Amino acid sequence: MKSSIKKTLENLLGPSRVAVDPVNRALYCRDMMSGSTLEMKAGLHPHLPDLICWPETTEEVSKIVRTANHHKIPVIPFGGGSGVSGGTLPLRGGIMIDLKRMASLETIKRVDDPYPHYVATIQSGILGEHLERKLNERGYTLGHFPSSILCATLGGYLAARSAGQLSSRYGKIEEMVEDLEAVLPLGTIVPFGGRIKKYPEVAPKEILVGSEGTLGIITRARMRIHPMAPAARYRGISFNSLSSALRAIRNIMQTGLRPSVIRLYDELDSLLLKYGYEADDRKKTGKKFLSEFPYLSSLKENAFHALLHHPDWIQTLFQLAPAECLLIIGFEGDADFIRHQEKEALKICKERIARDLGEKPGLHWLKKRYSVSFKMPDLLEKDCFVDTIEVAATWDRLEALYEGVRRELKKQCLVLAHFSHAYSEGCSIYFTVIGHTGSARKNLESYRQVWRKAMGATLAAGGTISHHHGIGLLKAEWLAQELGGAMRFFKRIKSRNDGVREKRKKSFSTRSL
Amino acid sequence: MIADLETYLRKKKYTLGYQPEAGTKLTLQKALEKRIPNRWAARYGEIENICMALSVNTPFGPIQTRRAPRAATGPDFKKIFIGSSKKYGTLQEVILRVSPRPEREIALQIRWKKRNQENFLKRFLGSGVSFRSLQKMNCVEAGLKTVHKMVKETGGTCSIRRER
Repeated sequence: MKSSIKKTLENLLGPSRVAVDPVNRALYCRDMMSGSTLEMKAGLHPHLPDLICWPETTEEVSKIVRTANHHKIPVIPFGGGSGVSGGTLPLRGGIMIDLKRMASLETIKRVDDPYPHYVATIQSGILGEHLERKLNERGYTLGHFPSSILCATLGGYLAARSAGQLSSRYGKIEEMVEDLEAVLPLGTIVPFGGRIKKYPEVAPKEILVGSEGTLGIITRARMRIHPMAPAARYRGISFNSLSSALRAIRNIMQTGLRPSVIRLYDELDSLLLKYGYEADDRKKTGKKFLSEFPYLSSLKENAFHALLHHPDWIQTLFQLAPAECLLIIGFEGDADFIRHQEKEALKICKERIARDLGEKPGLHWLKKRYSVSFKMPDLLEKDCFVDTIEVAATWDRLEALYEGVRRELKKQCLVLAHFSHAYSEGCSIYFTVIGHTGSARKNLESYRQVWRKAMGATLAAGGTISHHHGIGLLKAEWLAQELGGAMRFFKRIKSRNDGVREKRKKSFSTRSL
Repeated sequence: MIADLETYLRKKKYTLGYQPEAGTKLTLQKALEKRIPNRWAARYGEIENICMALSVNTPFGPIQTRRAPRAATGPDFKKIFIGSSKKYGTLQEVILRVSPRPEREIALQIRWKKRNQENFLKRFLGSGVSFRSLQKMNCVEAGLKTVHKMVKETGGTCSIRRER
């Protein structure tokens, strides 16, 4: 059966664009969910896709999907594979459709409805960084800067409802998309301005954005773009207490100021950040010294592991000791205007007890903003488990959410947190959890427990279980609680659009990690 | 009636931020069912952004969407129900976001030759000045000084049409 499918696809795409060899199958078996690394270390085998193919046009994608449908094989759309929720794991094998060969920025034009602005038509397989560079050459920006910009595609952004670091100014990806072209599970192509036949009252983008590859494959998008901002300013402000800082952020967003970035680090995370940029000034002589004495560096590692075995000590210490919280705030736009906006924001901050630290912390954040994500592999190498949990809530529930999650996780792992992606309605919290148990299997077990507790605490506090990473497989078991009655509606949309129930590799079912 | 709601909010120093084209006889239910566009969408968003959560009676039973500022938990079902004219269910209750009432509202009228209008538009959209609406007849309500500066640099003339 498999060879006839392979032959059909080779006839369609040519043998160079279809692969069934073990190397490719291994490369496409996972995304960047850290749980997959922990599973592999614990000796669990990953699921492999059966076949990978690389279409170059929307019609080819449609034909591949029709072939798969005919043979009742699951199909998984693959962009950059940078998701951290296991969204592309081929649980039932199937055909991996890698869209990165469909990567052109097609047209840019001005549109006058609802108000004059600029839009670009872009194929969904383009990498974020390439797209941004191409737009910059023409004097525009998408305004979307996730830390996965180097290895994520536009289609992936849309499928997962991602957010960039400047989302307070430019919005999340779902606020930037105006229309989509997509291929539905039975192979139908929905063009721009078209409608999904079974849901003619709804714009296709409302069904497909956030569907994480379960309801269709996005092939093109029409995105709102902005002329590049001529200037940018950044500043660091330190507060005595987390709640006064959150109050300040809320005021800033609700008076109508639009900072491009507004990030608040909690006490522990602020200390690490401060250590980070002061260490930079000292040119990291400490690290070089340690590397020449392997005994000392292993001592440092053992100390770190010992600390992680009793994470609640250091966290309780921080709650008792007076510690500052660091707020990074930045603006982008016309030079005079942003100077004025920054002054207004500082005025709001100074209504609480706050110290203006100047632009250095802001510039340091700007320099290191993508590098933080790349530190995770180091920790995973050192036999720790590490992951990021991002949730969101409206302002009235935010602090309770923060306290609730920390209380649940305190005894099990180190919890760092920062608040970012602020809006006038609320804000998101980004927790980084680091723990160590001593064995790979125990790490995996502890990791799963951490997620279970964090998700439970989030739902109890009335927050949402994911702000921009998406559900994937990692959070699938809590999606029903999050959506409530809408879960049935979601499953119905899927079953009505899908020819065969097993067609898509993933159902948002009770499959947990 | 939306007009009544807005009057009530304005008394308490808030605004809904929703100004539909239709006129004063529009009810909230109709605005949600037909997704009537908001003239002030540039600042406050469309009606589906102003609505933060809703509860609907559907054939599957009642659905209540979660009140979160933004989320990545599948498609946003709120946006599927709004604008679908009762096809998937009847709206029971909505939670709307209200904003502080602006202290000052200014409408500007700017004129140029067509070439320079494009130039101004690009500078304006990149400047970060927050505006409520930008209409084809070249009106803009925004940060004054900056707009004056940009207009001058692109060779236009700017005059205040209405101030409140």
